[in-house]
Amino acid sequence: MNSIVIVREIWDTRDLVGDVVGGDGELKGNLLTRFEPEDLNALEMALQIKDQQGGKVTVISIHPSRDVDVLREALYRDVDEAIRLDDPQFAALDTLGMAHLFSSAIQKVGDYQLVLTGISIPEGENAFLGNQIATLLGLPHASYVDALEGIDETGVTCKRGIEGGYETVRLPLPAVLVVGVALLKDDPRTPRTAKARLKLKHRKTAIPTWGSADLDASHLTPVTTLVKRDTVPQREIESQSIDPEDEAALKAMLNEWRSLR
Amino acid sequence: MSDDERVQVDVIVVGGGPAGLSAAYVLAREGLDVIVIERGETAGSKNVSGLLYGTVLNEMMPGFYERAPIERSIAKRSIGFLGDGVQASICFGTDEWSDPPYNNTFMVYRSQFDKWFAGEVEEADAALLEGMVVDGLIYEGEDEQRKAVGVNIRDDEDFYADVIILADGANALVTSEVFEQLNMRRGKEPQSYALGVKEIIGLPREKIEDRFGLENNEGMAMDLIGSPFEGLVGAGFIYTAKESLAIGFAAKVESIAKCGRTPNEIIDGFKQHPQVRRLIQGGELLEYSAHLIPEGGYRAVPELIGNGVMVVGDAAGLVNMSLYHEGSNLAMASGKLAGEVAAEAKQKGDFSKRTLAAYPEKLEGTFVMQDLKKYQGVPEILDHIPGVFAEYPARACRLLVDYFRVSERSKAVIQKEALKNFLRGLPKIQFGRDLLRARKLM
Repeated sequence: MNSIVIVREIWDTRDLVGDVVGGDGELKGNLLTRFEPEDLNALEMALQIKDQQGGKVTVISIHPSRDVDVLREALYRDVDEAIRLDDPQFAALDTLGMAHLFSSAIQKVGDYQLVLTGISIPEGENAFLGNQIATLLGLPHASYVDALEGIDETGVTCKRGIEGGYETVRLPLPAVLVVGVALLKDDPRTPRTAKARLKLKHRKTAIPTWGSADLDASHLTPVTTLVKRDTVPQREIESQSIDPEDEAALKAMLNEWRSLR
Repeated sequence: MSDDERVQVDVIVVGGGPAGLSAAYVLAREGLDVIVIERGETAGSKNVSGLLYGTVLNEMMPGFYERAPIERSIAKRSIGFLGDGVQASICFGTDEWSDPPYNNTFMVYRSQFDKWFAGEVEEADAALLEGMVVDGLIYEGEDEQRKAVGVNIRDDEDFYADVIILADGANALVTSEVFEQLNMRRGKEPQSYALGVKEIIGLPREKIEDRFGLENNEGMAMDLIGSPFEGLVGAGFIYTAKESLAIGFAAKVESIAKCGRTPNEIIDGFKQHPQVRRLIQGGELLEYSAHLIPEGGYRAVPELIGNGVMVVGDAAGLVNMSLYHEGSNLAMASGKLAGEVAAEAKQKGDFSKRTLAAYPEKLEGTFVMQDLKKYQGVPEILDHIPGVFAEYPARACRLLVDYFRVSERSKAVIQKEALKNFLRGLPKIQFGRDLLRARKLM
C-alpha cells in the first residue's frame, strides 16, 4: 500500500504577542516556522499503514525550507522518499495553481493507492488543496478525516468529522484523504516524533528538487491575485494605576466612572 | 552505520548551549565523530538573552561578529543607583568600543545566536539532534573502573561514545545524576542559584538610539541597583537591542522567596521607577522569560571530570557573578578546552579520568578559574552586606542630591548636612566593615 503525503512548512505564530501582520500586509518580526500539524497527522496515518501493511511513503512539499525543513523531518520519521517542488516560477501560486503542480508531481511519482494531506491551507486561508487535487486527478476524496478504520485493495474506510459527530465512509482506491484537526496528545494516533538514528542517517541525504521543467507548468499564473490585506485593529485599553492609599485619587477615579455612565 | 548496528561515536555532547556547542565545534574541526543532543526544539530555545563576551568565540571563529546575529555591540556601559525619587549613575565608554572587535561585548538574543552557532557547528560536520532529551547516562564496570559509555535518549534508543561532555546548563539534571553514579566530588560549598527574569520590550530604533545616546549599531548595557530591589541579593539591568530593550533582574532565589514579592511584582516595580519608566515608555512587551543562574562561584565548582565524562559551562557552575556577570564566555572557554582534551584523548586512544584530567588542569591556568578564584568571596559578601543593593545606593544618591541642593545657605552647611543625612542611623562600625568587604566586589 503506497501513500503520497503533501506536507507544508507554516509560520509558527503560537507564542506571538501583538500584531503579526504589518500595515503593508507583510509579516513582522522574527517569525519561525513549524510543521503544519494536520499534515503531520496525515503523515502519521501513512506511516501507520506502512507499519501494518508495508509499502512506501513519499512526501512532497513546495518551496525552499525557511526554518523547519518538513521534508527532512519526514525522513527522520522514516518515509522512503522526499521531493521538493521548487522553482522561481512557483513563487506566487494560488491554491488552484498549487493543486495543478501537486497533481502533476503525484502523477510523476506514480504507483500509489492513497494521497493524504492536512486540511489547513495557510497560504490561501482555505481548505481546498486536497479537494482540488482529487478533482484534477479524477479520484474520490473524503475530507475532515480523523481516523482510518480499515484499508485493503478494495478500498479504504475512514471516520470523518461532521456537524455534531462522526460518519464512517468507504471509498475505492486510489483515493485522496484530507485529514482533520490536530489530535489530542494522548491519542494513539498522535504523530510520532523524529528518531535519533534516522536524524543521523538522513541529516545530509540529498532531497531531489522538481522544477517547472519536470512538471506540468501550464497553470502557474494565478487566477486569483492578492489585492491587499487589512488587519482588524486591536481594541486599545488604556490602563491607569492608582495608589490604593491615595483617597483623593480613588475619589477622582470614581467620579470619572460616574461621568462615563 | 547499518540499521541494526548500535550507534557508537567519539563524543556525545549533552546540551546545545554555548559550552556544548564550543566543545562540539572544536571536536568536529579536529575530525572527530561528534553528536550534540539538545532538548529544546532548537538550540537556544531554552535560553534567554543578554550580554555575550566574545573573546573565546573570536579565537575559535575569528571575526564571528561579522556573521553572527548580533543585536548591538556594547559601546557604552553604565552603573546606576535608583533610590526613592533619586538616582545617580556613571556612564562610560570609549570610541574604541564602537570599532571591531567592539571590546568583545555584544547584546544578543540567545534564541537566534545559539541557533546560528549551532548552524556553524553543523557546518563543521557535527550532528545536532534537537528536540531530544537525554534521560541519563549508561555505565559499565564497578567501583573505580565504573565509567560512562553512552546516553539514554528519552523514547528513543541508546547512543554510545568514548567521551560524554555534559553541558546541560544551570538546572543540570543529567550531570547531577552522573555525580552520584561516578562518585565525583561536589564543590566545597553547595551550589546556589540566582533567578534571572527578563522582559523584551519593543521600541522603534530611533527612540532607543535617542534615549540612550547611541549611533548606528552601538549598544548600551546598564546595571542598576537600588530601591526596586530592596531586600534582594540581586540587581537589575537594561540592555539595548536593535529594536527592543531587554530589561530584568537577577537575584538569589532564596532572597526572592524571602522578600515577599513575586518576580513579577519585582520587575513591575523596577519598570515603574521614574528613571526606568522614561527609558521604556511607549514600548510594547514582546516576550518574557526566566532562567536559573548558578552563582555559587569558585567554592561551588565540583570535580570537572569522571571516567568518560567532562562537565562544562553552567552545569559545572562556571559563572562569574561579580560586576562582570560573565557566564557564556566561561562556558565557551570550558567547552573549547574540554573539546581539545577529548580530541587529544582520542588520539591517544585513552579516555580514562587520568587523561581527561588535562581539562581541569588547563582550565586552572585560564581566566575562567583565575576570575572565579578572585571573586570566590562574592557570594558570601553579598549575603553579609544586605545593604549593598538597596540601602547604600539610596544613601549615596541622597548624598549627591543633598550635596548639590541649591539654596541660600552656605555650601559648608549644605555639605555638612548632606553628610549627616548620609550617616544618619548608620552604625559606623558596620559601615566600615561593609566598605572593606565591598572592596572585594570590584
